Amino acid sequence: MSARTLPLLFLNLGGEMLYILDQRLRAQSIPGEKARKVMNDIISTMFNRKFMEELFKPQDLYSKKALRTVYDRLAHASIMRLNQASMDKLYDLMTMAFKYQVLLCPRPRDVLLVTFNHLDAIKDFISDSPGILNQVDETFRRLIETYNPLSDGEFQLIRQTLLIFFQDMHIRVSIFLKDKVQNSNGRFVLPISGPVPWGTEVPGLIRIFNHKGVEVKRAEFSTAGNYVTPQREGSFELYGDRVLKLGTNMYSVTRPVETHMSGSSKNLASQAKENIAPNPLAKEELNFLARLLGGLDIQKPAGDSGFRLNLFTTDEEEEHAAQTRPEELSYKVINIEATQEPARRAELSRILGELDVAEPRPGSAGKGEDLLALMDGL
Amino acid sequence: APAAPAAGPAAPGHPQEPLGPPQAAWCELPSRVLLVLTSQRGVQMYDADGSTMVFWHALDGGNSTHSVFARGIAAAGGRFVCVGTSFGAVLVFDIPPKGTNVTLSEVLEQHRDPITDMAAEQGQAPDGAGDLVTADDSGTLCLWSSGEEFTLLGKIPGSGCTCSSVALWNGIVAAGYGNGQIRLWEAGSGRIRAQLSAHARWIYAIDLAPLTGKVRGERAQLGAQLGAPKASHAGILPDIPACIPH
Repeated sequence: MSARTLPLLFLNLGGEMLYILDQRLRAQSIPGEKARKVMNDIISTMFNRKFMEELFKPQDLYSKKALRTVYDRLAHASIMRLNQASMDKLYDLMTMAFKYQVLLCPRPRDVLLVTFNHLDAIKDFISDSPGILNQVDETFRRLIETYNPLSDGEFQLIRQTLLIFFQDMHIRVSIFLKDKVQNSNGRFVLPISGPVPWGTEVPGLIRIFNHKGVEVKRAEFSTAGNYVTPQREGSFELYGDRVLKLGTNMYSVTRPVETHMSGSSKNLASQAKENIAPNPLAKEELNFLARLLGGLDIQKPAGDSGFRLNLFTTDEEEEHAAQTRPEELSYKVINIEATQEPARRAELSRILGELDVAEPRPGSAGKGEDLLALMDGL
Repeated sequence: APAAPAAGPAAPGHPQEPLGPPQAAWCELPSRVLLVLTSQRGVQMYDADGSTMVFWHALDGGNSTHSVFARGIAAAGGRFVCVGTSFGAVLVFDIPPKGTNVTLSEVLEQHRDPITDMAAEQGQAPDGAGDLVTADDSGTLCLWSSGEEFTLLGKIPGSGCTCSSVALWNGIVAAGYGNGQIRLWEAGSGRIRAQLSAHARWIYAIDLAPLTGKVRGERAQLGAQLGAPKASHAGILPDIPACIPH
């Protein structure tokens, strides 16, 4: 497992989330000012400096449940609210999109270009807010500093770590089905044509050398694929043409995005087991969350400016989705039961007490209250 | 630090904790067959029917910010099980004909990058060709002769591309690389004999049919479950001459 995977997972999933939210805000005709505020608040929270510092520390990936909780929090960082069904759908779309991007990366290293595509788009979203732009650029630079020097082998390990995280997720996404990049069984279609990865030769040539190392014979063989040499490599700098299209916004054209629940998970038995068994890592995850969420600056909605975003076309659809979501696909966001265990609550308070709070936020009830309120709500 | 041999079901990892990407290999020795598993925790060895853990060796991660794991398994010299590590070290375990008295007999430190794969000679090695090849992230290959003390017979430097998989047959190393190439090297001299632009993606696994010397490379794109990768598209190579012209 690579200890450097979490930042890439978080930033790319976050990027997908912003694409989807942006599309839904427009589809639901949310007034421009409110929509911009939501995007700015979420992006500013995501790229919070303390949060990023925690994120970039070498560490194992945490469970799907813990990560889901972070995105729940992030999506509610502003005046927008999402029902459970919409939040579930949002998370399904985010994860399947990034899984697709990871799988289709020509080289393991190209996952970095995917990340840069997401960040380039995020910078576009907040192009008129220089303060937030700075935050994003800082993270961009940190990414470049941390990942550009890594070897291909290290990227391969990161890729494997990501794919293990996404294993057994086969939710069907209508855009993918329509574009024929996903089959009806939820598996992705791998292309056997197009440009080969940068640094790879088009398959088909055999060169034979004699014992002096001199090439003495060439032979060719045909392959099933239809590959070509790529024109140029994508840029790994702060600015530049990434060349790779993976990680760019596929929701730009307004298309209703559906997910299909039935028959999407074959491995029901093992998934059910995962949900029921008590999680001995819950304490670790609590600590992790406390550290991460401790860095998030959450605003409470002021007056009536709050609104609810629906990931479905109608409220009825959303309600229906909530009722018909298969049990094994429910995310059961961290079932910590902090309220019932006084020891845990005390532990959490102690941890929060140790967190270094840079400056007090006026009007906030305090980080501890926020965090526990979050846990109580689960 | 080497752990004391342990028999019994004590598995180091919790079932919910991700161990991957794990590897599993059968190590066939003259007297017994062991099932060897590697992960980020270290090495576990089981009896052939999987009922008893014969031995386990925990990797000492220390304060490393780099990923720590064991990777690459091969049985060598009819007596040893070799396992690679993310530090570049190759651990050599001396396996008794029966029982649990496995000992760490040597640590080979010739690689500076994480070990990716290793393979023992599956045919008849010509003189001086060695019986074990180890590979790392930088593409460097090391040829070894096994024994009470392993001897380094040669090193083939990498050219910047990860060597992800190796096989060794009749003194020929077949190596698969991250850029989709397969290269055949003469183990004894370290000279390259053939280069194939075989695949359009990273080569995950290479295997060898010991009786015929036929080589097959595979690029499995989907996530690997414990043991076997789910291959979506296997590249079939044409027959390449097993006997390289002299």
